[in-house]
Amino acid sequence: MNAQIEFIANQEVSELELIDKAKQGDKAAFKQIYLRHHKRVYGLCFRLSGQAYLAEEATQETFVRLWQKLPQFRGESQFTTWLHSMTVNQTLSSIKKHKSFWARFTPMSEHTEASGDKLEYENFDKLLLKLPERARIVFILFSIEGYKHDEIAGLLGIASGTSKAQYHRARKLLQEML
Amino acid sequence: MNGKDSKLDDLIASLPKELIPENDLWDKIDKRLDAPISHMTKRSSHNLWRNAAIACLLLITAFIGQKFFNPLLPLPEVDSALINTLSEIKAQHEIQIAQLQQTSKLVNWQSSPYSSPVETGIDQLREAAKQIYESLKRNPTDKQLWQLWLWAQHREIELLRQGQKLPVSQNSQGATI
Repeated sequence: MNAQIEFIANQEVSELELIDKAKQGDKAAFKQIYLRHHKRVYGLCFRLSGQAYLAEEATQETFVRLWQKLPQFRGESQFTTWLHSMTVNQTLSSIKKHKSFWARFTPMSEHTEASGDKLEYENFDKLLLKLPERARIVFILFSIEGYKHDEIAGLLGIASGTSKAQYHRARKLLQEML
Repeated sequence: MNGKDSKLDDLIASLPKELIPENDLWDKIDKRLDAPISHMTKRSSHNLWRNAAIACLLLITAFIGQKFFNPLLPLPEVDSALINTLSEIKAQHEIQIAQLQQTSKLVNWQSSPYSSPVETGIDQLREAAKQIYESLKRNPTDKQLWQLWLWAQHREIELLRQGQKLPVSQNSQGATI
């Protein structure tokens, strides 16, 4: 147990060191940060956007933005929380930039298949892609990422009640698909 | 439904948070890290727009205020030259009109039953030309006013000439010599 705590403590310290170095412009340190977090960031981007190319673009944008914003990180919150919040904002912004108005109301599975994406994701991820975009985003943020409905409402510019309704809609749709 | 509900919860709990991107993204990110960073934040950008808007508003207010409260400012150099031209054209036109009226007296222009509407038209044109001339003196750079004024003068001369060609009523009892 002690060894585990020590390992976690070492991880924390080294991450802070990496952040400090990256703040000074050390790209090698920043690459280490990227290597540690990019899969988590990409996972979030992919589930929110529903498309591999959009997820890759959002991941790139997130890390470029992270590099630019890193000097503003004061360590008052967890680095991962800060990074994930940035990821969510960046992905939502990318989705808004790329999607047509009508595409937001149709399930993403059709678009994914049409784009020739051959990645084999978990079955549940495939079900998530079948949800309408708004319901999917709310469901992912609430159930998987642990956001509150008020926070989701703030991020998406909707009412908290709408977020709850979208969540229940997504849940019902997923249950029907199971 | 309860079975599906718990199954859904299990699926959510077991969902891996990490996914591996198909392509290596680092190279593209690395290239973009060298790009110059814009230090302008959203807030400073907003301030810039606000300051620009205030400056524009002040300029517009000053311009309108100057026009409204001080309309009798000395006209610029260009305007005085235009006003001189305006006076010269007006003088030439008056000479031309005087010559035409003189001609009608010399040939003993007799009254025509059709001359009255023409004369009324000429009077109206003169009145309009007078008003246009006053406007032009205040705003000598207005091209449309210039065109209108010149047209009114031209039309006045045309009407005068047409009036001279009107058929004269043959008065058998008249004392024409």
